[in-house]
Amino acid sequence: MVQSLSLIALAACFQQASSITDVGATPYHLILPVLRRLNAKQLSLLEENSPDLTPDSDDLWALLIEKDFPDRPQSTRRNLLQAKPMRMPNKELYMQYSKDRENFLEGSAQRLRRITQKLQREKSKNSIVPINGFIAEPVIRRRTLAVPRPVKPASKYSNNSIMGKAFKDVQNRLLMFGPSKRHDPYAAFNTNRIVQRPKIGQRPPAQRPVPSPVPSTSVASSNSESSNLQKQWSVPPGHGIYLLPPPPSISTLTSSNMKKCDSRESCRSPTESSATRPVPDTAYTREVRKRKAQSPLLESRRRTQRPKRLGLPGNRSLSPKNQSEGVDHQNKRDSLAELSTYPKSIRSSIFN
Amino acid sequence: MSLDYVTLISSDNHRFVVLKDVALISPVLRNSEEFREGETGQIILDIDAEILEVVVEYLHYSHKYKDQVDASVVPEFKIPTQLALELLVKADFLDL
Repeated sequence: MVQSLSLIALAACFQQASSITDVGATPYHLILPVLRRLNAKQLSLLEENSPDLTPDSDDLWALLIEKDFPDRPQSTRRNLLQAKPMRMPNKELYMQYSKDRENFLEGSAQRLRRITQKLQREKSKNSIVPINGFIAEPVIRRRTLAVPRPVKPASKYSNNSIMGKAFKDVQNRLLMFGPSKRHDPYAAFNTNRIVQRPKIGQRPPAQRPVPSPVPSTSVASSNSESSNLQKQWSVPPGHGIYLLPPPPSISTLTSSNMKKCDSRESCRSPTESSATRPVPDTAYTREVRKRKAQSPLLESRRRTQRPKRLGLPGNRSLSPKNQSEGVDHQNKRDSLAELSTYPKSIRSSIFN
Repeated sequence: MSLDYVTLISSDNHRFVVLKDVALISPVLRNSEEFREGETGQIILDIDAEILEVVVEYLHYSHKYKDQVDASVVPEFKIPTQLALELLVKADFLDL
C-alpha cells in the first residue's frame, strides 16, 4: 500500500518544523501537528508572520504553559475576569510567566553576587595577613594601693602539691609572725658563746678567753661593770661549764639597740642578734617590720600566743568557746575594736 | 482500461497529460469527471506547476504500486522540502 500524499507531506514538514517561519495560507488543522512540536519562541514568530493561525493557536499556548511552567496555575482568575476580553488569554499568561521568570533570574544573579561578596569579606576577616609593624597596646594602669599588698614570694611548687601547700602555709604564718630567722635547732650549740666540754677521759682543752659579750662601742663606764661581772663569772680551771653571757644591763642598751630589740631578741644581746643569720632585707620584710613598729599590739603578744580567734556572727562554729550568745559580748566587742586597728591585709590573712 | 487521457492544467497554464485511470485515483478528480470536465477532458486546477508536477508524479507512483502488497518493495516517495508545506495543502485538497 502506498502512503497517502498528505501524510508524506506532513512527515516532510515535521522534519523541517524548526525552520518553518511562515505557513501562509495553510489552514490551522492541517499544520497543527507540526505546530505542536514548536517551542514558544518559534510559535510566537510563526504567529507574527502568519496571523491566520492566531485565535486558534491559543490552545497551543496552553500546552506550552503546561510544559514550561508545570507548577503554576493553567488559567488564572485574572485571565477569566478581564474587563476587556483578551483574544488570546493563554498566550498572555505565558508571556507573564516568562517575564516573571526572567526577572527572577536577573535577581538571582544579583543575589548570588552579593552572597559571594559577603563570603569573601568573612573569609578575609579570618585570613592571616603579614603585619609589617604593630601599634603598641595601650598600657593598662592599675591602681596602686596606698599600702601595697604584700606580695607572696613565688613558689616553685604548684599550689596543689603538698610542698605548695606547705609553702603557702608558711607564707601565711609569716604574715602573722613576721619574717623569722630560720629556727636553727643547733643554735644552742653555737661555739661563740660556750666553752667546749671536754670529752670523758680527755684533758680539758686549753683555756680560751671568753669573748666579751659587750660591744666595744658601749659606754666606758659600763665597760668596767661588765668586766667585773666577767670576773665574777670566770671559769674555774679544770671545769668546763656552759657560760651564758650576763644579761645585758639596761645601761648597755643604747637607743640604737632599743629599736632593733624585739620581743624575740630580748634574750639575746645585740651583737648576738647580728651574728646570727641576718634577716633578708627585702621590701616585704621591711614592710612587715614597719608595720610591726606601727602596731604595738603585735609586739606585746608573746610569740607563742596566737591572735584571738573571734567568732563573727556567722561563724559560731569556728570558736567553740563562744557557743552561748550572752557570754563574752564585751570581749568580743573589745576584740573587734582591736581587730580594726590591724592593717587590712593582716586582718584578712588571719581569717583565711 | 481505456486509453483516455486527461489534461491537468496548472495555475500558470502548464499542461500535464495523464491517463484517465491514473488521474482518477484522486477522488476529487474523479468527481470532476461528472461535470463539464468530463466532456472536455481538461481539468483546470488552481495549483502551481511545480506542485502539480509532483502530484502527477505521485499519481503515477501510486498507480504503479497500488496493487503491491509487500510494503518493503515499495520505494519511498520523496518530495522537495521547500514544497512540502504547499504540497500538504494541495494534497489535502485533492484528497490524495
